[in-house]
Amino acid sequence: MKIRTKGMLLGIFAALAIALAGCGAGTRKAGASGEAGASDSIVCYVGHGFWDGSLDPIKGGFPYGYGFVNNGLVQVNCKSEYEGSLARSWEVSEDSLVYTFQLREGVKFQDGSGFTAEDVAFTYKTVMENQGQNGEVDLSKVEKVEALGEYSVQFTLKEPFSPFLDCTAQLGIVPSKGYDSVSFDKMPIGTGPWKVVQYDTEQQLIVEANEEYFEGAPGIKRVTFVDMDNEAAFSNAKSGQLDVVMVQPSYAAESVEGMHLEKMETIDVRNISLPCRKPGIFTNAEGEEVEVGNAVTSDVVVRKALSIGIDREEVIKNAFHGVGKPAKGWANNLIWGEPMEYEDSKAEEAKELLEGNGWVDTDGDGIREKDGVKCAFEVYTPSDEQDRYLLAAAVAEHVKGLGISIEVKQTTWDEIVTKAYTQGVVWGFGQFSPMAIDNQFRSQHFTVQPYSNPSGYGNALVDGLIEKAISANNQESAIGAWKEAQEAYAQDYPYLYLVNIEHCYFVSDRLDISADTQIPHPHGHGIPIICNMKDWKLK
Amino acid sequence: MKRLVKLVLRMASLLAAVSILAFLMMAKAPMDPLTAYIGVNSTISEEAKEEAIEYWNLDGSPVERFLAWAGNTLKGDFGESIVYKQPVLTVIKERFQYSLALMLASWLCSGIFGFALGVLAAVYKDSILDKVIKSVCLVFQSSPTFWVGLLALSIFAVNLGWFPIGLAAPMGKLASEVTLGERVHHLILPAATLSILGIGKITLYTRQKLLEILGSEFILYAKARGEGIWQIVGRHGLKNIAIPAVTVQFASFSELFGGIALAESVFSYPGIGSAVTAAGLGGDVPLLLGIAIFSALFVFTGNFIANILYGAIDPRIKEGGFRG
Repeated sequence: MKIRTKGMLLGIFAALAIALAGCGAGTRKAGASGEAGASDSIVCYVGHGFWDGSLDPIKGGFPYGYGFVNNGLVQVNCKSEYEGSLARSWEVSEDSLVYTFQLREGVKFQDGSGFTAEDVAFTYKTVMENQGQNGEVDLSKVEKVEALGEYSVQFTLKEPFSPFLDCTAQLGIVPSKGYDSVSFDKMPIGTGPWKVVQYDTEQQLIVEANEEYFEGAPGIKRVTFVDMDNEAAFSNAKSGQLDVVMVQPSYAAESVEGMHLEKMETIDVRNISLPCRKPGIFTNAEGEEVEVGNAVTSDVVVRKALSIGIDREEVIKNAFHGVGKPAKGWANNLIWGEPMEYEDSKAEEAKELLEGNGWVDTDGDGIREKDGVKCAFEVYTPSDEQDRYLLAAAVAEHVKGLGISIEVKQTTWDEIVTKAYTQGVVWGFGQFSPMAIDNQFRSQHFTVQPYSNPSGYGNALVDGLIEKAISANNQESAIGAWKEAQEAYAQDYPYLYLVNIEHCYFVSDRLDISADTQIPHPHGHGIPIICNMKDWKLK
Repeated sequence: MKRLVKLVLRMASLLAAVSILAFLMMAKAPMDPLTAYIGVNSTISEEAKEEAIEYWNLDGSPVERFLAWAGNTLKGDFGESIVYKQPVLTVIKERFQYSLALMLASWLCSGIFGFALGVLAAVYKDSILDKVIKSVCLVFQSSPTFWVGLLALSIFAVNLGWFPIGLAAPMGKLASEVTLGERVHHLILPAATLSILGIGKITLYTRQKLLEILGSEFILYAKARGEGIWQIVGRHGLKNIAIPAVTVQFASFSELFGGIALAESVFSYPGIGSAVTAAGLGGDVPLLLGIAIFSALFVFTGNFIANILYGAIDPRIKEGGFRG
């Protein structure tokens, strides 16, 4: 009987093994139409969970500043400039309050209906009425929007707001007649180069080329985006299932058969906020008393010594395997970016500076002191972002050589929001809108608006320039004022700028992602690579 | 009738307790729901933030927010998920289909294999077969689901290529083109991983119970009558171990729910487990509460079915009164 049972068990195992093997062979042969390797379709991985929310532009879907399913009035081009998309041209009134856009004619939505000024007015009105549902495009500065005819639309703002142009790049236009707030969550209809065929949340998004696209049909006919975690995606890429896979910089040294590494330029910079105020209690505009300031970083000499003393190349090498470019300010591929020009890794000069100002190591522990205060502070990073931790840790290791001690700590954003008033925090910013400057440097935001002006920087000149930039009535003077503001705060070093990161992807050798027409990638590793997907070609 | 009222009351109090607990945890979580919604780097104006707070009901005291939610829920409106921007019920329905297939497959798998292996081990007590089954079960019992999942993924999917690496359907295939076979193919690895959690326990339990029965006097009598071991097991053993097996099997509903989040995240399987994770990280109170209630109902139903089955399998229990 024993022998019989064993035989039976063996039989079961054998049957199982055959069944399993059969399954494997079966799928390979089947070759789904969207599988990597098909002649006119590709499969991409551009990050986990990016499309969790709605695909509907009204609810903040695709706010990246380039056309995908829907087009905006304007779009960002390779030089980070705004150019017409659904708008042909635009003008701003003398008082900076009225924006008039002339629209492209003869454009059709994917449902066949014609695009007119009505659709623009409808889209903007719907977002204004449901602003709470859209956390990406902020139209609270818009007073009203009117269609002035079939192909002309006029916006009136409540107050001058030059970054408004960025809103018009972020908001995709939906058809006024065909709009449905339920079905657009998964199947939006637009004028863009790609049509959504199927969207399974947290599984895949399948799009097909819009053959009628006004700038010409895309070269690739079908694209599938899969949603999984980074490791699973990389495994899939290694087994030949993917044409594009986003990877973290730590994977840059890996090699994948049939794929090559592409490092894409971004507008995303990482910096550490250095509290500029002396320790004390600060009473903000809302009457709240907040403990702020840091005895070490409030000394401008320490901040300057950090900025000029560290070797950014070395830090990037240690933190990101050398992926990324040294940054001393906002990315210079932004039209308004004006990074300071100075040499770094001048350790000797930094040390002299510190010693000249009384920061001397008297007790021989390698860390300087001044008036009994150790030259030490903490830097916080969010616990779910490993990259920021690696960067902070690399900086901490590096500045030991200058006699400065940084303790890196990880915690939740909820705690960071108050820690930022007294200690350093690693920040990442990469958006086309210059409101990032307002966010990080305007004095009135300190302690009032969470995550804004964490350094507690206060400079009336900078505040005035930011105001001037926001109320400008043309791009040139706005950009001029934004740049002046950057020059004005540069000497105070309220942030330790470190790196302009690069986004890494492995791309199939058979695929050309048209590097010439890629726009500099905004914040959010992953999706931006598809900005020019309509220009991609299979070799 | 009285029993039914009691049952409904018990269920209602359970659901109330579960939702209050889940809400308390979310309210105390070190996370600002507005930040989770708009992101840390957002530069949208205060006005737009106010609108978002108002629309998603992120302000007010926890008690107010909870009462508002409870009031709507009692009317059948579970609210809108902040993360997915869809009605909570739509999200749950969509995700639960995937999870249900996964749970059912692994539940049946662990039940059938566990029971069969347990019987085998008991019948061939102290043989090599018994020892192998016992040690395998102990290993299964003590290995964490996600670790088994990762191992299975790297061996069977990445290295051998027998199974797909993640998802519930082939990449790039339209839903209408996906065959049942392909769905099953995507289900095998996660279901096997999840069932490993249950197999060990059920096997060991069944083995123990059957050994107890086989050691009793009426079995000795049966042996004396000349019945073979399989006849004894078939005639006397199975009936007597069915009840404990059913209890353990249905009680494992709750463990299944616990394991599913891990199994789904390892296999990038788009079920309710990944929705829970997203809801938790995104501060999505309506969705999290909706899923909490739903899973409580699910587990409650599992235990309830077990109670009814007792009566069906063993009339003595029924006569003795309903022990729900």
